[in-house]
Amino acid sequence: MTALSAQKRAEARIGLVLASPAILLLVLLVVLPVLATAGFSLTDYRLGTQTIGFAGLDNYGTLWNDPRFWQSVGNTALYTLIVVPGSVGLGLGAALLIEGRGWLRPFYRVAYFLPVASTFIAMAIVWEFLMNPSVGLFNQILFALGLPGINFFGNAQTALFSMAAIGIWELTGFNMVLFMAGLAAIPRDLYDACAVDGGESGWDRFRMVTWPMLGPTTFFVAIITMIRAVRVFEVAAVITQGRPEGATEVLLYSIYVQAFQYFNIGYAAALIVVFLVVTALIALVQARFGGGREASR
Amino acid sequence: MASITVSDISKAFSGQPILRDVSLDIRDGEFLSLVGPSGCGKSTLLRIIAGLEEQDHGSVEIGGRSVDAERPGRRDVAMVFQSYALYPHLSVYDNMAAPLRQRSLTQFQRGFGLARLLPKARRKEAEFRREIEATATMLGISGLLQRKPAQLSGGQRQRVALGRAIVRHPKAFLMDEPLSNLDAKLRDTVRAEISALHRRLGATFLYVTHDQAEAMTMSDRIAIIMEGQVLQIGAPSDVYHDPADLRVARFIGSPRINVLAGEIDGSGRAVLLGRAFDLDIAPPAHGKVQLAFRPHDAGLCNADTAQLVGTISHIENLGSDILIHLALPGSEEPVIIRESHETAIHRRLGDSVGLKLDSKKLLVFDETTGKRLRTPAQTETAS
Repeated sequence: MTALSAQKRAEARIGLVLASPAILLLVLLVVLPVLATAGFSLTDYRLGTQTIGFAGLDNYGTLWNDPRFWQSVGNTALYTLIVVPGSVGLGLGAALLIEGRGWLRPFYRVAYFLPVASTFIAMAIVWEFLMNPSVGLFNQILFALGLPGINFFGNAQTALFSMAAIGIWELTGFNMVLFMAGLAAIPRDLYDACAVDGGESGWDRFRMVTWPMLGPTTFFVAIITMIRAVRVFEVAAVITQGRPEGATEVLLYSIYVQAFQYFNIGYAAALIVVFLVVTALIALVQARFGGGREASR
Repeated sequence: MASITVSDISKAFSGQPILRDVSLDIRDGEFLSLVGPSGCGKSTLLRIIAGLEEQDHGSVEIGGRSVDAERPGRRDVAMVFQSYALYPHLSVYDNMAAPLRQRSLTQFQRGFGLARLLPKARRKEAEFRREIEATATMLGISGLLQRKPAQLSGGQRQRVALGRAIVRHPKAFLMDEPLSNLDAKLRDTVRAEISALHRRLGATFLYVTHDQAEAMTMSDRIAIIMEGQVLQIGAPSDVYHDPADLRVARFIGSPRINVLAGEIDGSGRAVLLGRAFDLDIAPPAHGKVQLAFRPHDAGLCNADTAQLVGTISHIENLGSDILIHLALPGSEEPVIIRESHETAIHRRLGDSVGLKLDSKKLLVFDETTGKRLRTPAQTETAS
């Protein structure tokens, strides 16, 4: 017994030694910065000042009473609520359609995946041109059809939705690739069994086989998309700067503005802590419920 | 219940022919096995009959009606897959109910759980319940109805897959290697159970397997398929004792049949392994032939009196019988002889013994085509 546990202890020691470089990096690059941020959120530190004072939970109090904070939380939530179902649904649809295509499959796969591989800041600028109220392609088309143009980013009613449309475009391809991997893992026998059992329409196949078998994939994709949607930043930074009337003010953009334009490091740190808690909660849901992937046979 | 007629089926996958002009008649209520090595096209044939694959040429009739234009679900056959293909997200009960619901509920009733509470659907659901419970009792899985497939053993899943086929009362059962994923011991049990099930249901069974022992023990008739063609169809004893083709003779039977290359002259003298001796059979042909005999159709004798002499290269003790492997000079493969325990127990590795052939039981095959050349006496008994 003792010999065995001694051997186990030795094994554990070696394991720890082998893992130490990774642990060190994790601590240096993730744990310490998070702790530092949490620490800063309790101070009134401003970038460039020589003094730093303990502020307790003042920053959080300010935040709680700041209507702009609540607006950016609301905007981020609404953006996420649009982008997640939109890009998950379209990603699944695109994956199903492409699966059905024969030789064009590689082309579609690349075409849809392109947004993921490209620099999103650059893509945001392209979108800005496309959505330009006077010379943009979309409005030119509307004008040509004799319809009134849309002031995509100039109007508080449409700005967030325009941003969400770009978000959906960005994430659909990524989700599609994940769904295609999920589809490829479904045993063909199940479709055969469904056909012999009397499943005739594509809807029957989807309801009996595809959708239930994609359950774990769908869950995973939804969580990943949610985390990516909450992190929306580029479009707000490049195109709108939160305008008009704060309609596109999102969490990450608020943090950026507070930290690097107003130099309110303490307040920005408090915002980051809130943001981290939200993403951590989403990740926790994934870890808790996403692991239970059922044996497929 | 129905007969199945397959006429001139051909199928190629990307230019590679898989089936060539296959014709088969499966009688109503018959248990017919399609047996052959992997890649011979037997599973493809089954899938064509089920409607999961479309033939390039030829037609399929089920119950006297052409089903070539019908979708799999309309052909009214049930299929049992090697992987069982149970829906992993559904309970055993719902797995068995799936084909019933799929076939007799409307799209609306199937698609929406709440619609099943409507009176008409509820009456049907009650019928399904009776059917499923009766079938589950018959298969001994009534205690498992609420479980998910992942919580079942291989044998239990296999039963559920059978149950899902039985509840429908299909015209025929198509089974694609249903026992391959079971361990050897369980396979023997389930083999007997499927045979019993066939007798009990009296339904038409079409059973695909690569295991000749499975085919031999379960079937009314066996169709041996190789390289996309049916080489022979017949009762197990026919294909075993009276094979029409050397490939059939080699495939059926364990231990394998012994084959020796030889030559026959016009007067019934054969040259085997460079030694001439009387075969005492009216020769079906002259020229180069392959002579085959089963391990129990030949014996060993004293080396001094024998025409063919070899040395014992290996001894396999099966308990009841013992298999003696005899290395003959000039033959690449050893000849295997089955002997009773009493006579074989004294044999030792390296012993020099004679081979005694029973000319009446020799099977003669054409050397080039592999087709059987029956002696007049054999032709008589075959007809």
